Amino acid sequence: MTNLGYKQSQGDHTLFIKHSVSGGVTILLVYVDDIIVTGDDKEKQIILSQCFATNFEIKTLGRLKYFLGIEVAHSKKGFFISQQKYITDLLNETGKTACKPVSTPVDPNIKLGSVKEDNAVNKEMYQRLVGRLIYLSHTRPDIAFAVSLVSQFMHQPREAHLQAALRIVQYLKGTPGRGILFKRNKSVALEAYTNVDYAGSVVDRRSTTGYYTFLGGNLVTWKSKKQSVVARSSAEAEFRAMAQGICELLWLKIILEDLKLRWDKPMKLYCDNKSAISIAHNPVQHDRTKHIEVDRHFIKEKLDSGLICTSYVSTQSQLADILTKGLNGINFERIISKLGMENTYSPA
Amino acid sequence: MAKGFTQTYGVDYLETFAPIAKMNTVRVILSLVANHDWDLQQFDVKNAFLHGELEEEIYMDLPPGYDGQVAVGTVCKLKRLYMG
Repeated sequence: MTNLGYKQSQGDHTLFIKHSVSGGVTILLVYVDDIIVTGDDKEKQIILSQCFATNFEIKTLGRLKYFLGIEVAHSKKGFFISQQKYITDLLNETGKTACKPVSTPVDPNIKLGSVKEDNAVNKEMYQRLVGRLIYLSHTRPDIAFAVSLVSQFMHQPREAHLQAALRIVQYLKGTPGRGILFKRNKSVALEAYTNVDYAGSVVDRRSTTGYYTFLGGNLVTWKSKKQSVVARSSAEAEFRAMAQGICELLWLKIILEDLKLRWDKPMKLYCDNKSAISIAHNPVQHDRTKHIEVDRHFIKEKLDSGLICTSYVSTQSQLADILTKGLNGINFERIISKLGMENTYSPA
Repeated sequence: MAKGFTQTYGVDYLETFAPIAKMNTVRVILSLVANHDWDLQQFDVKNAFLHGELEEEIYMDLPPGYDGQVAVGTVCKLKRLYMG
């Protein structure tokens, strides 16, 4: 590829980019034997496809419709990705095709712990089920928190964990066509929402990080993950989440820079913890934040350089809430609709 | 690579590269395509390199479940490229 003048992106080594003299760009993304080509330079794309045909045994499949088990639907609004077929297969495999759907993936009243007194369940079966759910989270940020919860018990699953995993399947049953809509917003704005559930784990009291990033108004990446160390204050947990969110934004910026898409305004970081925002801006030493120097200085540095700006959002409009705790049906649906998730299918 | 724990890129094996795109990157590209109204084409490589010819000798432990009678510590030599 490099012979043709394509450059490998530093943000992802499977991404190849070529800029033409006229300012056009051609983008190539490789996944083992699948290749996606896009960009605004039609001519270069035709040359590329001819080159594929002569040098390699590569077949043109036309417009992107199906990629790694992900369905891509084109419409006037933009396009929509979902994994409906994968969900149908999962329902068949787990014998849940006739189950009663539930409105949320996590029961807000249950705190999942290690429950040693409960019956052990078949580990292999549990791991396979959770593995399939993890793959589904490519198009389903709505189950990300639920999946991160059940995947914490892979080594010793008990009945309660299996029930929690099956609840996710039951939730999917009611919403198999839900996926992410990519709209034409004519923008390359970068934004992130970070949130944390302080000491949320009943097993080891670690906190859970949750963040979403939006590029041009479309949801692109997210994470729901238990932090690797115990935080001693909620501000400490919040800083860790903010730092992780910033890292993700920086990665996105690297990709955009490789594509020569400029975004000069600061990237917005939304957070619902006022004290964390004020400490981030204020270099004064606080006793309780001494040990989180690194994250704090990292955030401060990015703020000072004008790369990032923080914004307060009320807990009500905090989108990342869904990544750190089990919510009730109303709040859950409210956030889902704001994420740009849509349902193309209504169950009978 | 099957049991990649002792290999070092470019040291223990020649330039093999399993190009696996991050799903995050895929979504980033999709968002850009939607916002810029770009065309989106897909290509498929016929018979990838799953059964490529080997250019150097590679040995591996016997696969688990191999029940032929062999001495302890026997390894096997790969005749074909092996993905997994």
